[in-house]
Amino acid sequence: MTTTNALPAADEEIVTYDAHVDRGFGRHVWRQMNEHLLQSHELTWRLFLRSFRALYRQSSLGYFWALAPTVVTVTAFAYLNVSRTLVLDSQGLPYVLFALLGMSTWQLFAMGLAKCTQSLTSAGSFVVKVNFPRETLVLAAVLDSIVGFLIRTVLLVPVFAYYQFLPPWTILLAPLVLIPMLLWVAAIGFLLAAANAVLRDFGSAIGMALMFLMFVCPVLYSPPDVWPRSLMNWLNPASPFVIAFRDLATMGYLTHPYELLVLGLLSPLAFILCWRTFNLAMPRIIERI
Amino acid sequence: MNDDIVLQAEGVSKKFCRSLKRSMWYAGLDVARDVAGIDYAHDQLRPAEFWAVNDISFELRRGECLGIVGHNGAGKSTLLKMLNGIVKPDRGRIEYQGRLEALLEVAAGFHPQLTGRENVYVIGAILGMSRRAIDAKFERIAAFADIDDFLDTPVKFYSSGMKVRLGMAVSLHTDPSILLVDEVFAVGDISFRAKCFNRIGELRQLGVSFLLVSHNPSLIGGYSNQVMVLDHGKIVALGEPESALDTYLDIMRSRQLQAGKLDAYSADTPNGTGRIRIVNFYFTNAVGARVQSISAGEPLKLSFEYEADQDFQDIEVNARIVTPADQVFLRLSNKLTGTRIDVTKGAGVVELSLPCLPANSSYLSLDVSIWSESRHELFDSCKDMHLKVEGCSRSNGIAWVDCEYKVKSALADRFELSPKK
Repeated sequence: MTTTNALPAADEEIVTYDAHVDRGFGRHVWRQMNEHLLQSHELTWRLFLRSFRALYRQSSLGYFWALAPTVVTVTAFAYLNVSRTLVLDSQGLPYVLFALLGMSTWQLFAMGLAKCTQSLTSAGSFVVKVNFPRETLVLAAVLDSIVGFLIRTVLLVPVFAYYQFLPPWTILLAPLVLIPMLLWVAAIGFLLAAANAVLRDFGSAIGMALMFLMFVCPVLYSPPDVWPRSLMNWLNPASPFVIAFRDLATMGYLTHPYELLVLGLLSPLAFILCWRTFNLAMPRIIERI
Repeated sequence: MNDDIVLQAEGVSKKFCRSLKRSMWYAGLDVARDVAGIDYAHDQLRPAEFWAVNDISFELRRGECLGIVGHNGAGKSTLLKMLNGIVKPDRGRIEYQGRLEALLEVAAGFHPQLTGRENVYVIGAILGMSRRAIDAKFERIAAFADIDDFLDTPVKFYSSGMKVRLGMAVSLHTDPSILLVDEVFAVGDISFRAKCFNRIGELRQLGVSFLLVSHNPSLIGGYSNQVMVLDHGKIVALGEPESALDTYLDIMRSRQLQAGKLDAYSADTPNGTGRIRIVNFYFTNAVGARVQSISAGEPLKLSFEYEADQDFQDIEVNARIVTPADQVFLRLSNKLTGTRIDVTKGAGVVELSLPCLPANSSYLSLDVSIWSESRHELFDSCKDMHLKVEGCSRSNGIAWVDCEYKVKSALADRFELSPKK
């Protein structure tokens, strides 16, 4: 007979479920949520591995599919630019390098949001059968998009080499601007994942919405400075980070520091608000799935 | 909470909404209020809402097993979901100490592209186990699931039974202090079910407390220290298994009566060609009195009056006795006993005499059908005629027979164990 230590210790934590607890933004709530998140880092990692390994397992081209959307879009726009069908400003940089840097960052944002939106619905019925921190599903989707981004950055090396472009030292700081962007991805992802669990319209609409957002974000063209087009540098949460990443990787200074500062400072607040909203919404949503 | 009490529910209630549109609207409102921290009358019903679980209070002690029974929609699964923290109560409070796990069909969480081994680690992590804990238990989990040759095969190539076995193997090795078991032992083959029951026995010895939900009264009766009977979201009985299960069976019978399922037979509308019609049906006891309940060891006669349009030779009379869990307890046919039955035109009575009905404390339902020779024609049939059988407490399960135990030891010549008088 096998033996297991099943008896709880006398000082084991008492768990309470009550209609009155867990509301609003009280201090105890944050402590509890942080504890859950820290306890579930391994689960986040496992869920990430689950979807990442499964994604490319039944595929002959494997990780190429992580590169394909970026390669295809950059090639198409480079051709349009070279053939003068569509004249796009690239701030004096080789257009392929310019577009590739923009697309890599944009894809991190877009793929992250798309994966977050589907994270609850694609997880299967255990979401409504087992009690576990469901934010781990959203965070695993963010992690998944980070790995996709890292694979795509491999493309940058031969492109920098081909154009014999020596990046400034600030390229080392470029990954830092992705941190607030990822907080935005997770924040919006929390809301979209919860909304899509109730109404699948969000999952259907996200692809179209992201396509639209890509064209109102300076991914394939330089950031507009003329009002009202310059608004897109502020209103699209991805814009300041796409611009800043490219600036740091090529120019060595920030062309739009204020947008970056404002949206960067707002990102932790957005993350916390949306995480809490997700946390509160989950039991209400699960009883309706 | 008292040291010995591991789970306590006080006035727990949950409301649901009948209208999908309103339900979505209420969800939005509730989430907005929860986020803003606004207190509101969540313990009041709004239009189209109803209490799915209403005012449930109970305590579970260390090592105890509480059985929960109730008809479909009685609120069993909702109660379990609240205890497990999946949905929030709208009224009341749940408190537990230790680690609470639900033994569910976790195979639902398997990713078909990943191997069994990889899925064990994913499911283990979802159930709150660390990698180190899974590493330490992996051999035991694999041995329990008994799918060694397929551990490194993608789960999509597994049979449904293999998936269930692997899922159950993981969830039975999570070291819980309270385990919620919701109707999952209907899965797997007989040897796997035996393994599950043995593992549960092992956990009980270690002091794990159980909440067991099933429609099978004999399973609940055999495992539980106390039984809770739910009806329309409320507790109607909570206590000793035998008396609580009697209440449950009474409820099931009254529900069937209300639904018109009992005594549904009508001579005016035969369920067949009607050339022989069953016009009345009754049970009689040893002294010939008509009864609706008997004791388990008592002789019983099933009688049905018929009317035949003409003479019929060598007809077939079938009777099927079914338990509340829909198990066929007894199937009788004059063809099996080789008894020839001829009926003449007009009225008559067919009687089936049983020396006893060795069923254990249950409501039984009886179906009767009359066929022509070689089953070319169904003359008439009637279903769901009920009889209460008062049980014999010296055995468990759907049937009982009086027995005597004898033990032969290598040291002593012979011991005889007799049942307590």
